[in-house]
Amino acid sequence: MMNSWFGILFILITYLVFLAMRHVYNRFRMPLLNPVATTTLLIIVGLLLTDLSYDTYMLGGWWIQELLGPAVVALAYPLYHQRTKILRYRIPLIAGLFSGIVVGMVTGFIYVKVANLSSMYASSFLPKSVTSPIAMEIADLTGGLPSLAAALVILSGIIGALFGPGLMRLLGITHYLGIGVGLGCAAHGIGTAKAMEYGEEEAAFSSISMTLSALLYALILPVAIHYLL
Amino acid sequence: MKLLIQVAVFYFFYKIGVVLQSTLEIPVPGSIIGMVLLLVLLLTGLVKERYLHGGANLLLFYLPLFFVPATVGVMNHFRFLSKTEGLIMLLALLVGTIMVLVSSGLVAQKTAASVDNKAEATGVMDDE
Repeated sequence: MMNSWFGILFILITYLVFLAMRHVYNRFRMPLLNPVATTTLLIIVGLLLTDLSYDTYMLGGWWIQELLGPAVVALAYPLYHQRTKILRYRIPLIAGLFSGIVVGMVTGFIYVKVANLSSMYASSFLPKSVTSPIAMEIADLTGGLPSLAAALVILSGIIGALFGPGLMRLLGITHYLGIGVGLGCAAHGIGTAKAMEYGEEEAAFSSISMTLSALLYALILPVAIHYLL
Repeated sequence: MKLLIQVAVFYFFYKIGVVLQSTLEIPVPGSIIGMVLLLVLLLTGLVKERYLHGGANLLLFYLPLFFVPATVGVMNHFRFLSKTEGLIMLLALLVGTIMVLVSSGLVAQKTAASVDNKAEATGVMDDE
């Protein structure tokens, strides 16, 4: 009984804090005030102050997370609306995707080699640009820690959403293709949520990049880890 | 009420995706398989765009909210991430993520420009 009250309380708190943070973000329009990041920070601080565990929070959090699945399914809509553009720009999409994957894997392997990481940590780090369920599976398969892999994936998503927009403006990445592919390849789902703020074209290219890069990573990375670590 | 039914349909697609993922051992999350399935149905015209339009908008409007429970989970790794080894890892994550974002974005945009130029040169513009 107590647990279901906790659950309802955490659902409400999460929802209300998110609405408040989205409101703050819309007022100031600073990428650093990304609602996912600010909401998360406030909830973590609240949990630490009240000495409640993440597991207790998830009594409510689980219900919200359960809606992530259908929301990802709903990304079929922007893809459907933008189908002619995706077909027209299939070559740049593949080129961007390919360079993102190569850069991601090369920099990742250089870091784990130079830092001399144990294979457990290396396998948790390398799937950092892949959407979390896949990253967790890759980590599990290759001897990493799935929960740490998920945390790193989420941090890369937050990093992409916080620093991506300013950097892209600075480097003249203004075309919806560059913005969408960049956010989707580097920051997966959280990046796609950010891409939706730009427009439907960005959202479509971000979700297709996220999908294809997850697929390619899942096929290549376990083999690469097996031979290179 | 209509919106709730539509959201339930999206949830159903997600669950189908999860089942397909585990039975066929596809290396992609169930939610993405559900997305591809719906996209195929939309493209073939078996599902009309207007059937689920409202539900899709509602779910996508709250998409960032649905990530929050997972992002809060980072707190379980504070102990490791605040050690020297963890801090170096965070730095590598920052640099790596930004490099991926910039390189893929730049390459996609530069290549897109050449597609546009070619379309202009041949006079083919299949836009809307």
